[in-house]
Amino acid sequence: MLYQTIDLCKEYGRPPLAVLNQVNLNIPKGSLFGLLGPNGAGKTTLLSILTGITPKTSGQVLVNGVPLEACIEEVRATTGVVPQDLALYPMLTALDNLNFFADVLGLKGAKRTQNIDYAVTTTALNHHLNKKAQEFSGGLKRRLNIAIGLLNQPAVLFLDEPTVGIDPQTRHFILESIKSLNREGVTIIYTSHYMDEVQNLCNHVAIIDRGTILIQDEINQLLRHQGKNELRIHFSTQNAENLARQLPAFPHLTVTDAHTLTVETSNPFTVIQAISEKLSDPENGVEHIAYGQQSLEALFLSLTGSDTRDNDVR
Amino acid sequence: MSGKFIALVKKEFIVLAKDWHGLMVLFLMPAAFILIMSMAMENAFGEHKRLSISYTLLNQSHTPLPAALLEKLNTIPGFDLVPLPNESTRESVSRGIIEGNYQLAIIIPNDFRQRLTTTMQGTESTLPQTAELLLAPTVKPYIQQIFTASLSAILIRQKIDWMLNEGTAPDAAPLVPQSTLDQLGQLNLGATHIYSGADVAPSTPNAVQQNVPAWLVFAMFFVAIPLSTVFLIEKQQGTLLRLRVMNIDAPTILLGKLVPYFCVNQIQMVVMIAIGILIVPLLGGQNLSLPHSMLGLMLISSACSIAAIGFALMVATMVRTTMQATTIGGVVNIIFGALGGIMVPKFIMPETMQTLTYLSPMSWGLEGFLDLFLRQSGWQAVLPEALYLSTFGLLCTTIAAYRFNKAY
Repeated sequence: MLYQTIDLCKEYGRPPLAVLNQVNLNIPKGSLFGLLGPNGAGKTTLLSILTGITPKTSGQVLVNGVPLEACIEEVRATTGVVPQDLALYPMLTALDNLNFFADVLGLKGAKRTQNIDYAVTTTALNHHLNKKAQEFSGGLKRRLNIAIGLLNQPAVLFLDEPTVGIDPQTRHFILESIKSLNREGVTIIYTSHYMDEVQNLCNHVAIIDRGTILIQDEINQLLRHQGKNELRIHFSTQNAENLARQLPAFPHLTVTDAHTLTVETSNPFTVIQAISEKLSDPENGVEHIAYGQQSLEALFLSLTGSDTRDNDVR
Repeated sequence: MSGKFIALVKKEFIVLAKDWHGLMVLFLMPAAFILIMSMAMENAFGEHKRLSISYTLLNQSHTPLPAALLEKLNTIPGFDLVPLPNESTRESVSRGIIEGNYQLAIIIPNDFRQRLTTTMQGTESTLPQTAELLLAPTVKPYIQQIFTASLSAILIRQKIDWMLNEGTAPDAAPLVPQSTLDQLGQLNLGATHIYSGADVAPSTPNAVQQNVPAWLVFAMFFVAIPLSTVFLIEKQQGTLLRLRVMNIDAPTILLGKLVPYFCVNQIQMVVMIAIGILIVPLLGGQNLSLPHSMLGLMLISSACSIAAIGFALMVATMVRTTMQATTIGGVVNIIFGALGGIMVPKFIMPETMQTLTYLSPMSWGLEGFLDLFLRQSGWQAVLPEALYLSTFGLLCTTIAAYRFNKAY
């Protein structure tokens, strides 16, 4: 394991509020690891502890089997962090930003040129280097934010929601770049609220809620073992809720959204037979019916509940 | 580490240079205050500089006054004699006071000599009134006292002359010679200003010498607002966090902020002194005399800057929003300024308030600058103030480093 936490706890304030509670996490070397959790679950605190920014209250963090405290300098030198906020200087040009952070990292000579080129090429910023960051679009700012995180050619890259507030094209570009980095051997620890993104991108995932790891595994294994089979009925009209009231009471029927009904079952034909009359009514506008494993989002919601989290703790 | 520190300082300079609007405020604000306040307070400081009160003299006696007496009345220091037209009366003189032509008038009665030389047993109040003094209501009591004392001395000398030489023929030699009488009235009460720089000629305080140091100190502390705001923006943007992840420790980050703003403070000092020397005289104010000790100037200016930036860093690490930084930084600066003798000169405050000024670090800075600009002291004189300011600055920076370290 690259990163391993053993009974990791973190408390804040007085009286102490536990933000992380007995967290046991294993992040394999070379993985593209998705860390999921609702707002206030403890993701940011966990990332802060793994990157050595925030001290833990108790427990252990091991990096390649060595306690983090014993190798913090080395870990920082080989780790890139891309925070959720745009951690750059808007008044400086992209190149000034890169040069400044390269200086801060102590990069010199050919290594410096090579690393800046690597960061610029990976994020395709070549044509924007002399523009001030404050003149950039949201997508370009995100790319510059990632480029700064790549300046030390990290072996481990922490990405905290790097696709927030950007257009689909930039999102696609960033996700492809991340895959490419992972293929080159960079271990990536990735947090996002976009479940489809994580499902498509990551090969390992952990779900954290209220400071506790609920589940962690390879994503395929997870969906195979934990994900239940479900029948998804999609309507062309926003009629899912209305129809749910008319259907016989299935114990595991949920309204996924205004267009979609989901029934958790291992026998889809029984369900279809029971509601065939409603399904065949053209007024209900059934578009398609699918049967298969739960999506990551459904698994996430089934584990964390669908209530909104108003008492966020970072 | 030094390369990282240089990178931080360089970046801060670039950011400062790109925010030239914000930078200009740090220079224009004190410059405007220096010019406005130096002009506005010119007269207030002038009163301390030289007394200049106009008065007149109405002789109602039938005989002309002795030349020696007239000469003495003409030369009361700080009082200018305004001549009266020939047909003047007590009423016209009173009108002249009301119209503001003069502030004081001496009315000599027609039996002046007799009244002056009358000797009686008893107190002064039983003597006939020798002369009458008319005063404008605006004449302050201490001005009246100065004038009355001077007039009394002149009249006593005349009384002695008349009494001792009474009965001698006009063309005969006086019993008491004029030179002896003059010597009788001579008294030299020397007044010496005490300055710490013994070999330096004393300099008289003027408006510009008060206002340049005062508003310079205020402007130096004013960096609290831009510095704390920039610091908070970087905190909110996550750049400070990124620097910490990149192995930059808290003291280096804080020091990286201190150095560029220290340079800004020193440039502020040069510009404000230049305004005092070159611009204020052009607008009719008095010019600023450069201090005798340049080392002293560097010492107090550096200490003041350390205090100002330390305070700014402490504010930056104690507040949560830029709004709080602007409000708290601004309000505390104004309180420091009001208490520290920036807005109201310390020497016109009541004694209790003068003692309270020591609570404000701006007062320490101002006193240090005044030691140099007004008292022309040597560098040793500013050592206590420089020490207080540096200690204050380092204490604030330590608190800032502790809080910053705790936050990240």
